[in-house]
Amino acid sequence: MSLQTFTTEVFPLKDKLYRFALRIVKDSQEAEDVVQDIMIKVWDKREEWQNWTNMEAMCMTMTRNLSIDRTRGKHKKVGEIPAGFDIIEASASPEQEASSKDMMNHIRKIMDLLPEKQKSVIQLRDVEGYTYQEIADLLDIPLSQVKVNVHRARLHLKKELLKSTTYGRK
Amino acid sequence: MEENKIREVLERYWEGETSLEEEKELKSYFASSQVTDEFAPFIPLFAFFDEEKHKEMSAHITLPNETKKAKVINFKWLINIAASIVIFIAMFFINKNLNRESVQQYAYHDTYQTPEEAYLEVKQALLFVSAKMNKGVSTVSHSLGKMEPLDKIIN
Repeated sequence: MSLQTFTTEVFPLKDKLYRFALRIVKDSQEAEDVVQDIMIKVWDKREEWQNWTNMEAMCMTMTRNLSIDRTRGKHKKVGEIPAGFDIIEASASPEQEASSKDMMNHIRKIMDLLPEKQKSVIQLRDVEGYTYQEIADLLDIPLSQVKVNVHRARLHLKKELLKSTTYGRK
Repeated sequence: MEENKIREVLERYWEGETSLEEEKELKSYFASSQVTDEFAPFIPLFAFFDEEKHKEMSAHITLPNETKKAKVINFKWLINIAASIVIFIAMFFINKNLNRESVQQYAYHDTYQTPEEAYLEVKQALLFVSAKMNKGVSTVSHSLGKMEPLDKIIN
C-alpha cells in the first residue's frame, strides 16, 4: 500500500531532488548520494506520511537540509573559489569566447558563488517554476525574504552577464 | 512579443516582480531566434535555466523493500570502523611478537647453563650479603657497649 504511494509520489521526484541537491553540493556523485539517502529516509518515515501536508515540499526540504549538511562536512570544497572565476578564459577567437558552452560554464560559476539561499530560490523559481509561496514554505522563510533573495540573485546574474559580454566584445 | 514589452517585462524580472506566466513568456522569447542585440547578453541565462531543468540522475535508485525496514548505511563510517579493526588486530600481533622477543632475551641469555654454576653464584651472593650484615651487627654492638654508662646514669 505505502510502497505504491512511494513509487507514484516520491520516486518521480528524484530528478527534481537531484537538481536541487546538485545546486547546493555542486558534485553530481554527492548529489546522487543525497537523493538516495533521502529516498530511504522518506521510506523509513512512512508511518508519519499522513501528517505531512505536502509530500513534495517535505522531500525538497529534507533534500536541502541534507545537502547543506554535506557541504558543511567539507569546508574546503564549498568555500573554495576557483582561481579566475570572474575572468573569461582567453580563447582563440571571440567567436569561441561567445560559444554557448563557455557561457553555460560561466553562468554556472556565477551561480556557484551565490549565497546558498539565493542559489536555492533561483533553482526553485527559475529552473523548477515554483510559486513564491511554495518556495517560502519549502525553505521555511517569510515570503518577503524569498522576494528579496530572488531580486538580489537576478540582479547579480544580470550584472555579471553584462560585465562578461562587454569584456568579450572588446 | 514586441521589443518594448520585453524590455518592460525583463525589467520587472530583475526586480523579482514577474509572474510565473510572464517568466515562461520570457523563456520562450529567449529560446527563439528573434532576440534583438539589446537583450542578447541574457540568452545564455535562460538557456542555462532550461538546460538545468533537463538534468537527470544517472545513478539507479534502489527502491525500498516493503517487508524489510531499509537502513541507512553510511559507507564512510563503515570504512572508519573497518580501518580501526585492522589497526587493532595489527597492534595485537605486533605487541605479541614484541613480548615474545623480550621474554626470550631475558629467559635464555642471562642465566646459567648448569645448576652447579647457578648454585655457586647464589652462594657467593648470599655470603656477600651475610658478610655485610655481620659487619653491621658488630658495629652496632660496639656502639651499644659505649652507650652502657649513659644508660646507668639515666636509670
